[in-house]
Amino acid sequence: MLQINHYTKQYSANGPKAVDDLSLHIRPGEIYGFLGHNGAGKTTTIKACCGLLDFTEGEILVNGMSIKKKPLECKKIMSYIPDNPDLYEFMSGIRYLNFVGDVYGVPVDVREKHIAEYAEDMGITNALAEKVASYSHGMKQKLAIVAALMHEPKLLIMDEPFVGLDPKAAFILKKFMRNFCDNGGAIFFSTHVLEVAEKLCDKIAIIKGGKLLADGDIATVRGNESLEEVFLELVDDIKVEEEHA
Amino acid sequence: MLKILLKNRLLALADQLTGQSKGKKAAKFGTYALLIVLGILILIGCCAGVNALLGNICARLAERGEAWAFYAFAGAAGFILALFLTLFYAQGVIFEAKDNELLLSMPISPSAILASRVGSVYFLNSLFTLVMLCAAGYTVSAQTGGISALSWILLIVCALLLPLLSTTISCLLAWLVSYITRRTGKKVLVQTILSLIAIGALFAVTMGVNKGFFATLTENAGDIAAAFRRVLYPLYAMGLAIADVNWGMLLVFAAICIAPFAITYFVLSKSFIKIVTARNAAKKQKYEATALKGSPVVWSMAKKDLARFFNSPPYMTNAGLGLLYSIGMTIFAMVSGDSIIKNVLAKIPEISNPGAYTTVTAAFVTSFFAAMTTISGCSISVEGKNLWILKSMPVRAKEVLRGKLLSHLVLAIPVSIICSILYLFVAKILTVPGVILMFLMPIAFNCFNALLGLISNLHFGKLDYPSIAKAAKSTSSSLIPMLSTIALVVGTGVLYFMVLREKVDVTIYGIIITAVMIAVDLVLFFYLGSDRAQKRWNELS
Repeated sequence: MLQINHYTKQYSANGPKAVDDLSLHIRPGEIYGFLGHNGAGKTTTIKACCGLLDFTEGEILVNGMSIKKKPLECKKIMSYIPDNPDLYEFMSGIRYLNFVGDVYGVPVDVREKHIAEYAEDMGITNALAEKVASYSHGMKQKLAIVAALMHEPKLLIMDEPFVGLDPKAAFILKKFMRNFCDNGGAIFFSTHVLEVAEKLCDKIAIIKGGKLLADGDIATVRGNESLEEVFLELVDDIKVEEEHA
Repeated sequence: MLKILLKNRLLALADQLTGQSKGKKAAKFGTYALLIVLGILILIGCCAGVNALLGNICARLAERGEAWAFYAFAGAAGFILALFLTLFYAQGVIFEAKDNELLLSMPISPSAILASRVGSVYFLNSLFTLVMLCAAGYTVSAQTGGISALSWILLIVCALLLPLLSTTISCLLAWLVSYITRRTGKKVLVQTILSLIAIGALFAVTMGVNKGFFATLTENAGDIAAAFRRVLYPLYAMGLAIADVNWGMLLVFAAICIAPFAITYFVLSKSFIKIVTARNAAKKQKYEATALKGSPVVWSMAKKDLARFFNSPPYMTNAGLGLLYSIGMTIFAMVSGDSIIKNVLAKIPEISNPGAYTTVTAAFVTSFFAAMTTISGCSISVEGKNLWILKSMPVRAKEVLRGKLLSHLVLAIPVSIICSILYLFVAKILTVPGVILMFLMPIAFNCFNALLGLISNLHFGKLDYPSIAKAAKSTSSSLIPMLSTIALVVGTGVLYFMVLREKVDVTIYGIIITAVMIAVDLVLFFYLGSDRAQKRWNELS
């Protein structure tokens, strides 16, 4: 569903590589976690996958189509949820969802059904008449999630999707993510919460300084250790036992 | 702590004035230096302007021994100007600042936070007052052969005292606006009404200040002085203090300025936490599902842009002022009949067909007002941090850009048509070519203005404005279509009268200009759908 081949991004010609020769393959049915410290290159990669950021070298394919050559076709079958959803604050929640429905060409009856279902799941139905400006960070995040699901995407790309969500919404989102992938969808998301990645992901990739350190099935990557131990060893060169000692 | 807060606030204010938020220290220093030079030039310009315009009044008052009234008059002007221009700044910076809660959570006393914010309002007020009083001092000096050094010193002292009074009123009005906004929950409505009142008042004053106004002032200088003495005692005291170096009056004036300021500051500092952390009292609307309506993508984009426009008073008042101005000027033309156009035409010799000239001139005048509407000129800049939404959606640049164009035209063209209809009646345009010209020419110029604004913003617009308000106020790409449209309207008019008057019939000339503008519009419209526009859109981030 999402294939990243030798992706390299440099923000300036002589500057350092923000991401260096990254290759990942996310298949239908997989929840793929993307782990790394702040500034590791996660958001740069995610934005490139969504067509928000041009890149220097490599290729990114969405369902076999190049995001560079066929951006519209790619965007039609995926959704992006940023870490800090700056939505249209001058619109009410329902108006924003209707706008998204218009742009993705979602039939009116389908969008009404999806709004009713997903807004109820996320617990924001009562707030849909209010302006987005009055929403808390968590509510904006929930609205962005509902908007992302409106057109039944095949691929979901999420940057820190659990930030700002209350426990119920986080639980519902996790359940939804699992159902979404069980029904053939694919999810590529970044997170700092290793427990979430460990429990939720089928595969993970760990990135540091723009370079891929490890990737694959979660069981293969962590071996006999916990994901936290593996992450700290790979990213920070810290042996957890030594730290404890 | 107060020093640090005040320094930060003044630097933020300087950045706001220069439109610069980041950059190297040396570059920033250069910009600040340029700002100071510009300030000095404005001061010199004001001194020369006041002396040229009001020197007669000043001389007459000085002859009667009432030079104090001139200082009082300048003080009143500075006071009103400062009050108008700092009211919304005071509201934003004191009561609606986003960092209020952050600062309150730090070990900083509320009174220090308030002092830094009120300090920046006072700084702005004092600039306006200082300019007006210095201009008055220069004029009195020029008309009376010089004033004493002590007078100048007292003038500076008064220029520092008077802003305390305007700052007090600015803060109180800002508090009132915040209170009404919180109670009603109608922030946009309240701010729009107040903005329109302020703009209307300034417009009325500007229209009222003409040659006759100054003549009336000169004739009634004595009455004005008496009125100041009776009604505006603080300004009377200030004027006497400066003109006669009257220390007693200075003390009276200082007491009048300092006491209300101190009381207001004390009351606000005691209730600062309560005011800035108060929640909106308006009732929450509960959503009830109703049938949704789908729209084509371009229209949906336009509706989104219109919602942004109508929900931002600064965007409305800055970019949409031309709409009000067009209607206002057309009504003004209706009230004064077609005499203005006829009077202008009467001064041009050898006009063989005054009726046709009236028609074409009216079409040009209506076209001229198109330039004042700059909605499209900042429509990409106002996307700012929301740009990711459009960029992550499966939409082409041309759909987004056409939506923005539509949102401009859907407001500008109906206004243009209304103005054209009114002018048809005012100028009694009865010929078929005249009627067609009266509608088509302003529409063509409106389209040109909207298209050029959009293309300018696409190529030269900044996207890092922190808010819609700042983008609407600051974006320089709005100036390109405005100045280009004005230059085209005025230029083609001048070209006809200077060169082509003898060679081409005025109606035919009007039709040619309209046809050329329609052709230019089509070229610009097709550019929006071009690969180059798409490429530029892709580059925006």
